[in-house]
Amino acid sequence: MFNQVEKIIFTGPVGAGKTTAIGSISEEPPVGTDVACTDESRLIKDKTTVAMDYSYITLEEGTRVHLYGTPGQQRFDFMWKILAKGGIGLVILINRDHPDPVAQMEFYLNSFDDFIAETGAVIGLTRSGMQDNVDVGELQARLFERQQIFPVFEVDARSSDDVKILVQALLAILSC
Amino acid sequence: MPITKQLHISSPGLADQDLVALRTAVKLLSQAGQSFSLEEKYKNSAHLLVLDEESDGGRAVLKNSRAGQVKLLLSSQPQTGKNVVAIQKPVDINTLKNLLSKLFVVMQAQLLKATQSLHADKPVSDQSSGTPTENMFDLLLDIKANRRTMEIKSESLPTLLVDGENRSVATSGSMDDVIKTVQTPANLLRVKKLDGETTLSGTQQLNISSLDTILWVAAIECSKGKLLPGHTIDKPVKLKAWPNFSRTSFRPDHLKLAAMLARNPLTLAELSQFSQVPYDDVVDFYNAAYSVDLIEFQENLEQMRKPEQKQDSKRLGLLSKIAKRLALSG
Repeated sequence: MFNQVEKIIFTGPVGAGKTTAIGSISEEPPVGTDVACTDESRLIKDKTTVAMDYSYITLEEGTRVHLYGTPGQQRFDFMWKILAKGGIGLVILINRDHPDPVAQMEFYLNSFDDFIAETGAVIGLTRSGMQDNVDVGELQARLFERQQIFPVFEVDARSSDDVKILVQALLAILSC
Repeated sequence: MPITKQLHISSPGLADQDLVALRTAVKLLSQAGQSFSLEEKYKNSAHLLVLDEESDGGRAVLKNSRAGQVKLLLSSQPQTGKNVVAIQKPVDINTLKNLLSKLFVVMQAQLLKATQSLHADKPVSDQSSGTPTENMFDLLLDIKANRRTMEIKSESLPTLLVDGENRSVATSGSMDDVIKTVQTPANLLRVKKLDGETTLSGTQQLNISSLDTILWVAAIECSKGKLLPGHTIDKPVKLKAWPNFSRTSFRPDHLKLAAMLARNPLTLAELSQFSQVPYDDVVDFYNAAYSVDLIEFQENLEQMRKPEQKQDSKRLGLLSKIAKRLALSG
């Protein structure tokens, strides 16, 4: 069934760059629900998203495509499926500075497995330049073992073109 | 006093007791002056991989690892091979320590030799490659297939040192310089074969790129619609993984081709027909994907094909509009 509210979901762990990625392609700065971090996330950044990020792009004829970012912390995972419901597809952002990026990727693939099966997913490997714990080939090797073929690109969440290529790949999958 | 480098070990998926033995051996050797770093996850760039040959994870990493990467396999039936040494399970710490110590000495010599070769004023060998090549794509493909180590010079551009064994390209130049070299006609390139034992893993102050990254660019720049020798347009093929477009020059049609070939095996003729991408561009994409080992040949086409999804034309229209809206700047 074709959904009336068109939305693309961005997910991933704290600090992966979801808010930044949405902001780099949207027309307005994301409306966020950021609060000061009080848990271990404060070691990564000062503020974090607790409910969702939201912004949009407008197509030629006026249709809005909504861009939603899920909260990063796993204790807010009840929000994930609510946000994903009716979505066009999933953008998973993984921070290559994370101690185990491969496990992070698998966690989000598993958490959204039903949604991904119905739609599709792309994976962006973001970096902050501090550490380099994984490369694209390692994520692809794990996907190969899982018998899944998804695009995995290195992206700078601040770069509009990088995020656009990621979303374009998602659209290419969905169009097949 | 000889200069020694720290050897990087990657030991993904070892059982706890083997990991403890490895950590202990490394610690003892470090105290004795042989410096190792130990990463418990898979690192493609590590000098030495330590793997349990009998675990699923170990076998998977072994299968996907670089041919030139030295491996130490823990096995109940140890067998050695090129770049592979083995040790009997269960692992004895002293045996492991002695083996690592020998590896340290041997690998130090290799790294030192590589560094000297790369910083020498003259090439290690003046012997020409003797390989008939029409362009940089042919040349790089030959280097990769035959695991050669070559020096490629182009007038006014930084030299490329291409290591087919370790699948790396070292240069003092930028990626733009590399692309300009790739675009240079073969008759304007000077190619020299370096010592076959040379590796690039010990180089410093050079930009190191994956050979596959450069091969992809070379295939797209140089193929010009000409299919690789021995390949046909009527054999069904499939992608094993998506190309890493972020490392290569991006072309929108490649997303469409990758999505279709990742989903279903297709012949190149079908791929061009279904995607409506010009045949020459399909061939360039195929050559690039084949050269970086992403192509899987399919014998039993009908069994492999997934049922076609009936796409809602309204949905396709929406996806197309979003793609248009998110077109790249410039």
